[in-house]
This record gives sequence, C-alpha cells and structure tokens, in this order.
Amino acid sequence: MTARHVWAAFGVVGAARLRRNRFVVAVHFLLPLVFIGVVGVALGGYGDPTFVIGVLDSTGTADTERAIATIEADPDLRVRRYDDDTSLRGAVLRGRVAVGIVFPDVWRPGDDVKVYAGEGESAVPALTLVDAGLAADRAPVTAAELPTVVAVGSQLSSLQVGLGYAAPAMTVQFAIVTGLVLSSTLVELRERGFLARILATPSAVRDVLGQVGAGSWQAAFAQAVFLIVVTSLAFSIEWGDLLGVTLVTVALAGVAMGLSVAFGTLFRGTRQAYTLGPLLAVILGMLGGTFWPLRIVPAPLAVLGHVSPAAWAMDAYTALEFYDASWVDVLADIGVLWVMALTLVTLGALQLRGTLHLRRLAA
Amino acid sequence: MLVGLVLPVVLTVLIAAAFSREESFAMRLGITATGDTLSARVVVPGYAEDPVELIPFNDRAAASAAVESGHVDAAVVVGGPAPAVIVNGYRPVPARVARAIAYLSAEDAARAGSHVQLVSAGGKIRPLDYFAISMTILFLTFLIWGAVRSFQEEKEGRMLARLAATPSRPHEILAGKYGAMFALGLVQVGVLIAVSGLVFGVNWGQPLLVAVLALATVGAALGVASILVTVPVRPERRALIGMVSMFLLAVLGGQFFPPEGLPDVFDRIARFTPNGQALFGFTNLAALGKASTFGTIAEPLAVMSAVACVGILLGVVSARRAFEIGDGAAK
Repeated sequence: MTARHVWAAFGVVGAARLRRNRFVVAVHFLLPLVFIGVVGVALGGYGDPTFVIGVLDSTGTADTERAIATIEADPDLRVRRYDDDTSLRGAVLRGRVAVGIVFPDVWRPGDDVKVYAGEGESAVPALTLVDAGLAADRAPVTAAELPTVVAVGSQLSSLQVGLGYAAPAMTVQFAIVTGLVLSSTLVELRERGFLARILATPSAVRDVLGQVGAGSWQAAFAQAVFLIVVTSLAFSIEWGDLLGVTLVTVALAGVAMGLSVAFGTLFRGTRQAYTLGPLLAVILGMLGGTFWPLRIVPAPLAVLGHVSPAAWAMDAYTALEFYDASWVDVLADIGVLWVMALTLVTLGALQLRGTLHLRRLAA
Repeated sequence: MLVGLVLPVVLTVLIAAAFSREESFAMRLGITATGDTLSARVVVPGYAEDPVELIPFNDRAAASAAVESGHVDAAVVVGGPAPAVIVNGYRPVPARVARAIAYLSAEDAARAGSHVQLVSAGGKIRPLDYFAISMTILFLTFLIWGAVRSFQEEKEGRMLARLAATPSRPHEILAGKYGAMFALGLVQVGVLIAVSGLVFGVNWGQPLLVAVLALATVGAALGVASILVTVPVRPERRALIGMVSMFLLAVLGGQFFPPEGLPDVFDRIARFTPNGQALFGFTNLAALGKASTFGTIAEPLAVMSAVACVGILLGVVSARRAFEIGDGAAK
C-alpha cells in the first residue's frame, strides 16, 4: 500500500462521502451536539449544591406560606410542591427530593410537621436545614448568624461543569459510534462479494483494510475536530493544551479506525453494524466514563472500565481540560489508545485473512 | 436473545454498579474551631456513625489550602462571629454536608430538632431497582423497533401484497402481525421482570398494576416504532435513525441517570416521552409497593395508550395501502 492509496481513500471514502450525504453529516456532526447539550444539562444537575425539599401544603394558610417562603429563602434549599401525600412519598423514595414536608390541616409556627425522609445521603443535612428554617420562622436568624460560603478551586457553575464534562465525553462516545457504524463499509464489501473481487486483483488485504480504515479515521477525526471547535465557541469550553488535545484526538480517531476494521470483519451484515454497533458503543462508553465520571464509581469498576478505549481518552481529555495537564502528561494515555487501535486493526486483518483462507479452501 | 435479554441484564448490572458507591459514602471534613472541635459531630446525629472524618486545622488558611489540594472534601470554620464554609466547586455533596454542619454549629443548634415528626418514607429505590426498570424499558423499545422495521420491510418488499392474494383477510393478517409483536414485547418484559426479581431482588410492586402498565408500555413501544418507521429513508438509514432516536428518547427520559440530581427540566420533558412516563410509572409502583393504587399509574397509562393508538393506527393505514397495491396488481 502506498501513501497515494491512503490519500485516495481519504478523498473517496471520507470527505467525498460526507459532502454528498447530508444524512451522514446530520448523524455525525449535528446529533453529537444535541447529545452534548442534553447530557451536559443532565450532568450539571448533579453539581447543583442545593437540596430539593418536597412540600405538601393542602391548606395554604398565611402561616404555612410564610414558613415555606422561609425555607425557600435559604440558598441551600429548593422547594418543589406536591399535590398529594402519595406523590410526595414517591418522590422521596425515588430520590427526587431529599425530604418531604407535610403541613397538617391546622398549622401554626412552632407546631410539629410530618417529614418524610428517605435513606439517601442528602436526607440528614437537608433535614437539619429545614429544621433550622422552621425554627427561624419563629425566631429569625440574623444575617450575621448565617455561614458565609467561600469557594476555592474551580469557580465554574454546575452547568458549566456539566457541559465541560459532556463535551469530551460525547466526542469520545461518538468517535466510537462512528467507528462501529462505519464498519458497515467493510461489511458491505464482504456481503456484496466486492472484497473477493478486489482481492482477485493485485491488491492485498492490507490495501483494502488501509483504505477502509483511513476513511473511518478521517470521519472520526473530522467529527471530533468539529465538536471541539464548536463546543469551544458555543459553550466556551477550554479544552486545554492544543498539542495535547490534537494528539489525543488523532489517537481517538485511530481507535475508531481499529473498531471499524475489527468489527467490519465480525458483523454478519450491515443491519448488525447499524443496530449492534451503537449498542456496543454505548456499553464501551459507559464502561469508560462517557455518561458519568469514573471517579464516582467504585474502584474495581473504574479499573475494569479501562478495558474500554473511552476511559483512556476521557482520562486524557479531562486531565487537559480540568487539571491543566500538558501534552507530555497525557502521552501514556495516547500510547495506550494507539496500542488498542493497532491491536484492533491486527485482529481485523487476521480475522479477514482467516475467513478468506477458509473460503479458498472451500472453493 | 442478545438484544432482548443478555444486554439489558449486562447494562443493568453495569450502571447499578457504577452508582452503588453512594451506599458507601465517606468524606473528610476539615474543621477549625477554638472550642470543642467535635461538637459538630454531636449536633449532626445522622452522621455520628457515618464515615464523616473530622480533621482539625489551626486556622482558616490551612483549611482552605487543604480543600483546594483535595486533602479534605470541604471545611467548616466555626468559633468566629459567624461560621464559614470552604468548598470546592467540583464536590457538591461534601459542600452540602459542611453547610448543614455550619448552620448547626451556629446558634441554630440549640433550636434544631424540635418541630419535625420524622416518618420513614418506607425505604429507598436502589440504583439496581431503578436501572433494572430503565433498561427493561430501553431494550423493549429496541426489540419492538427491530420487529416493526422488519414488518415495514415486508410492506416495502411487497410481501403484504402477496399475502393479499391468499384467502386470509387483511385485518386477520394485520392482527396476526401486531399480535405477534405485542406478544414478543410482553414476553421480553415478563422475562426481565422475573430475572431481575429473582437474581437481583428487584421489587416491581403490585403484580396487577405492573401487568397493566407493562401492557401499556409494550403498546407505546409499538406506537413509537410505528411512527418512526414511516420516515421515508433507505432501510439502512432507517435502522440508524431508529437506534439514535431510541437513545435520544432514553436520555431525555432520564433513563441513563439516577433521579437524585437530575435537573427539574427533565421531569417536564420526560412527561412528554412515552419511555419517561413508563419509567415514572414503574418506579412509583416499585417505590410505593402496596400503597400504590390505580391512580399511581393513571397518567403514564393515559399518555402511553394515546401514543400506542396513534402509532398503531398509522401502521395499519400504511399496511392497508400495501394491501391495496397488491389488490390493484392482481386486478
């Protein structure tokens, strides 16, 4: 295989395909942006430092409204109202609220209230704040008594943190999706008998795999670069050291290339590539921390997660973005990504050679 | 078998394991005080036996440096005119706990604990329970999507037109097709409920209400798939559109995230998605157990039934056209 073949593949399989096909453009470029937005908002919620307090106030007297207003005035508490006892209790049990307050039909400041508490970690601190709030309704706390909050380290809002994590996470996730879905190219060549015909010419297996892999690499790289640029501009995300980000992205695209080659020899039809491909990608992503940070999961699962290339790519991207790492700091992650990519390509080549050999024997 | 049973179980275990760390919650909290530094532990009785380790610091600057370096998760400064909390923006839970302790270390402590009658809500939905329900719904949609797509390909491949030439009537053929897809979905849901109950101890709630909700969920999955399949694109693209749409609906419905910290906006969006309604209904049934009534699932039933009716009607109309093409060709 010459460099000319590879560049030809770049043009034919990659850019030209994307230029011609608006559907592919939508799936590869716009859809990840939608996911970044949705996942970013979702993850941002977990960084919100307020407790949600469920309230059932069936009477709505001036006393209860004032007590609720006092609780709402606490910057650490958010009130969500419920219409009936069952809904409130269900919300506590599902963890949607930290505790649920039920005001009785007749309530005056200083009277008891029923409070549903779940078993989550938020219940006790939320309860203490509610209690203090209800006490304050009787004997207001002065501003001097309130604790002042001093933030050190990152001053980002929870939404910024959510989007900041979701941007590299979905870039990694969609690179893997792209690699697995583009395995359909090789599957199609096999299915339609083109591969056998191509290999009847002087072309070798490595030429075909090189061209298919180069196309996948290009698509994944273009997609990742697009997402990095757009999220930088639209969401003000600072990805970190440019050389580091570039090297990680090149290696990530290499993994997509490896996946397209390896699974292109394994999937039995294009339908499998389109249905099982995204599913496998999601499993690899979940293992590797594209839906939640691996630092929140139990240690054994975090270790196991590193069987997925997503974990190494996420380690590198988050180190560059959140911890000001330089390209030297992420070289180990990049190295592992390339080992994974080349292993996948090799496995694909061996599998394809094996299949072709068996066919020749059968013939 | 893989998509229907193996992958849902694998993903349930994977996601539940990822979020199981909450049950072994531990944190290191810095505290600076001139008096009794351990008083905070006394005034927060819920944490007396929990692994909240209090690390004393001599001054505020040392505590602040420890928070910034990650040596402690947050710090409380008491003993001055007003308490202060030092937090790091990336660690919301320790920040919450520190703030609660700081409130109580102030004069609020003397007043606290006198006006609440604490009532246990009756337990807690474990991550395993939540994600067993979530993955059952997700993979039901995948399975039904595959079945509906195959049916669509039969329509486009003129299989229905050929069937129209047999003695079977169109409505009999359609009833057989939709009945088989419905039964397939019900079997999958039934097996996953049984497996998650027996292997993981997931309590799905009152059997009769669970059965009614399962019927509506399968119907809604059939409805959504029947609507999506009408997108006029090539079959391979249709497969991809379907998978991507299912994932997007799942993310919007909150199926990949535990409910504790999910922003309120997802509550509102999920109510407009059939999968979000199914998740809401099943988790409420699991949470409330014997206390659940038909009213608990009234909203999910109404929304999902509407989606099922619209989608299946659309599918039937499209199939009848395929039959008419067959009739026309025969004449």
